[in-house]
Amino acid sequence: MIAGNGTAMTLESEVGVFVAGVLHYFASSVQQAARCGTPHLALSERPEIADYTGIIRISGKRTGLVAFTAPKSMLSVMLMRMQETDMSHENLCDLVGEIANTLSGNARRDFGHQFQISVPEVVAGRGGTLEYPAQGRPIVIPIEWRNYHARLIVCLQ
Amino acid sequence: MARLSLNQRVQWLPLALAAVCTAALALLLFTGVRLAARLQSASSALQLASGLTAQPQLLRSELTLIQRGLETQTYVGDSLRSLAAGRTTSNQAYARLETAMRAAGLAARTDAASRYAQARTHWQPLDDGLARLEKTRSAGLYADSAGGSTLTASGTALKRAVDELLATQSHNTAALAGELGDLAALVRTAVVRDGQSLRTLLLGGAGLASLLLATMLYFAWRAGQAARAASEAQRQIGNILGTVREGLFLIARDGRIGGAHSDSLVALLRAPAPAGQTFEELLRPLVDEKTLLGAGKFLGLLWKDKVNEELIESVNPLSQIEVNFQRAQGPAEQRYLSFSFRRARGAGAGTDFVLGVVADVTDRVLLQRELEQLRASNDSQSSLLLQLLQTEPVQLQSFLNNVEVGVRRCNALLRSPGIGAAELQQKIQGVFREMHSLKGEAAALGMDSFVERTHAVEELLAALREQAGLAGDDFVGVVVKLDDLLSHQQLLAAMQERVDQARNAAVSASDIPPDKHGDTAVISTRAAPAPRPAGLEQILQRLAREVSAPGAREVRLACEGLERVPAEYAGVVRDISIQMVRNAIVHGIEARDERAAAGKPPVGTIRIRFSEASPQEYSLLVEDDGQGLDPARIRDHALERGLLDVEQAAALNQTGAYRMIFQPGFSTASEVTEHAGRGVGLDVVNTTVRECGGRIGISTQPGKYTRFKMMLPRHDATDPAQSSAA
Repeated sequence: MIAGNGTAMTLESEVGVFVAGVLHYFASSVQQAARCGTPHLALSERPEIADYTGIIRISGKRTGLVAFTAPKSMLSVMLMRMQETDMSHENLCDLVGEIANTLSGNARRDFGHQFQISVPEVVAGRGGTLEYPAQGRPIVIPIEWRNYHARLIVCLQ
Repeated sequence: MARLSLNQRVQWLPLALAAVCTAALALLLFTGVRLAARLQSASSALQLASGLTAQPQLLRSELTLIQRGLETQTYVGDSLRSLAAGRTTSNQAYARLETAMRAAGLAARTDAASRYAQARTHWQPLDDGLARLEKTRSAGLYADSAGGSTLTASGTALKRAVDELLATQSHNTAALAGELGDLAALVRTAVVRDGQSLRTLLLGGAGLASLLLATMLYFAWRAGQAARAASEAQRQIGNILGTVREGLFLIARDGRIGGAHSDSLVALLRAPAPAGQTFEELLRPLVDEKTLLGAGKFLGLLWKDKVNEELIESVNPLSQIEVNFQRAQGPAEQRYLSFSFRRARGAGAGTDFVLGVVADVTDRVLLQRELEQLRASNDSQSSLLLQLLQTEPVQLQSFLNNVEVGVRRCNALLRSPGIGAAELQQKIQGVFREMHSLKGEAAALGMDSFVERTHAVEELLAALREQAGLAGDDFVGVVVKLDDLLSHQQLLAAMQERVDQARNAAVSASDIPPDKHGDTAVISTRAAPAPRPAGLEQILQRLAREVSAPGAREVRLACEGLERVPAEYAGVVRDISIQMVRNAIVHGIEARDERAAAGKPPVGTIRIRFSEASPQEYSLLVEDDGQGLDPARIRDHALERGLLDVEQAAALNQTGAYRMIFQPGFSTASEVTEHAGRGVGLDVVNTTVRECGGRIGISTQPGKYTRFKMMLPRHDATDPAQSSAA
């Protein structure tokens, strides 16, 4: 049991938890730090997703989703860094699912019972869009690793 | 002195009765034992007296036998021995009789003592005579002769002594028997009396024993009743403790928690039964050290009986605490617990225990928060509606469009690639300019909610600008705030649309003749037609009032030619004018006192003039009669802010100093406010003018004036060469 600090988390700190979660995954599991680009809003269009996307859906105090989407090439290199030789579709799905699972774990740890977090789901296939909350405006955080570009999409309302 | 209550008296009465009965019974038994001992002695005395009564007659018979034996010269030795034995027995009996009489209390009675004394008196001569006879030997009493046996001298002496004793003691023996008979009768009377007393005593004892038994039975009955009541109370307490939703527990003076507590306590604290634990140990996993310390001090106050527990309730640090319970899987469970404490007094005057009550108030706290948020939202929406109604609709529409465009431009900047330090600083400056420009316009329109939001973004950017090792994720806050700004803009746009619809409806209704529509006439007079769009001059006048209001300065704004600003430059001139007016008031116009000291009129003047300077250019002139630009001061501030190093500062000439004021981040304001201090205003002007392909000129005289002249190219201008060619 941990004593609460009595302060409600702001959207900024909540997004920060997910960003830190992704960066930590790269630093610890892939053992090569990723860099974060400047976040921006998806104003006119829904952000496109890359080849593989891991998603967790959130309900409770806020409703929405958090997704990590990355191209196949990037995930393949990540698997290689992790001493994995099998670059199959299933393994790539597992990797992106594992990243989503890590984000889920971080959220459970830091947000408490006011958030209910779904089991991670994986979407394979480029160019689609995700189902966002009606009023939410997705925040897109570019994740740069080596020469690859992934994105963390946070949409909470 | 404490008085016993009725209930307590009822409880103590049987106990007192039992004690009295027991004491009385003990006394009776003691008396009975003494009486029995006396009765025993009296009985013994009676037996002795009765025995002694026959003794004189037996002795006389023996004497007579000796007398006759001597007369017939027969053997008298046995009689002599029997006489001696009788005497000894009698003497012993008298001694024992005396002892028995004393033990029976008869010695103290005059009549019995007198009888005994007389009997001894009469016995004494007989005893003496018998003593003398004992000295006589039984052998040699006879002498045989021819004529038969004759008494010898000793035989003759014996016979004489026996005859004499029989003769002299005949009367005495009868008297002795009489005295002893009387004594026996007296003793018998005493025995009978003592026997009766003993019987009475035994009856009394039996009564008391019965009473005592009844009392004991009553006690046993009461104890049984009390045990049943205690058992029932225990059962009921068990039911309460098992049913109540609050966690109830007792804290002893040593801080330990009592064995009895409600079942809910375990569920509420997610901890095993706390019996034997100290309260501190119970609390430690739930709260931080500071709260734990506070709770200890608070409990310390409760033990002080002089402290009013109602008064200190407000300082209870555990009145509402947030706790997170870790679960085996999933997120920690966040709950709100409320602890309250009451002193529990026993029979004594002091506090024996402190009753602790813990309740789960999570639902209440969350509901309260929701209500507060709802109330804040309602207040906020009322305030926004007021802002809307106070702002001229066309101006507002324009401003809302500008906000959206501004946010989109910021977002485009953030979206652009590049995460190097210089690129991130450029993004900061770009967003800063947009926000500052919007903030100026919001202030000019009196849109406080936008001023607050844009100012919040500026605050964040200012911190980032100074931050070492800046990274992309540091901009998360900026994006979240931009999102909030855009949401706010959309909210106001939606509200404005509704207000416009309501206004249009009211205006349409006012077109209908009042005589046909009754109340419509009233509506039409109340609903004023939409005001004519306010010009830039009005916006600037309002801005001047807003910016100068908090200070001790007063400003007069003189505008000229603003109504002739062409549509293509409407936004540019508005943005530049807003920043320049704000800049002139904050940095140029002095306070009233300073102006008076300098011999200037107390009200400062700012002139703005828009004109067609030439067929190729427009001119926008902004001039204030304030303190002018001071190159030395500019240089110092640039040094302080790290915009120049010492060498660069030393080499800075006057023109260079004037150029410095357009640098991003340069400001001579001593503190950051909503209107100044970020060093962005003139940067916005500079950027805007340059984006238009224009230029800026400055002329100033310290203590007199500052004049900015912005030259903006005319896009409708014809090339002079082409014109001449034509």
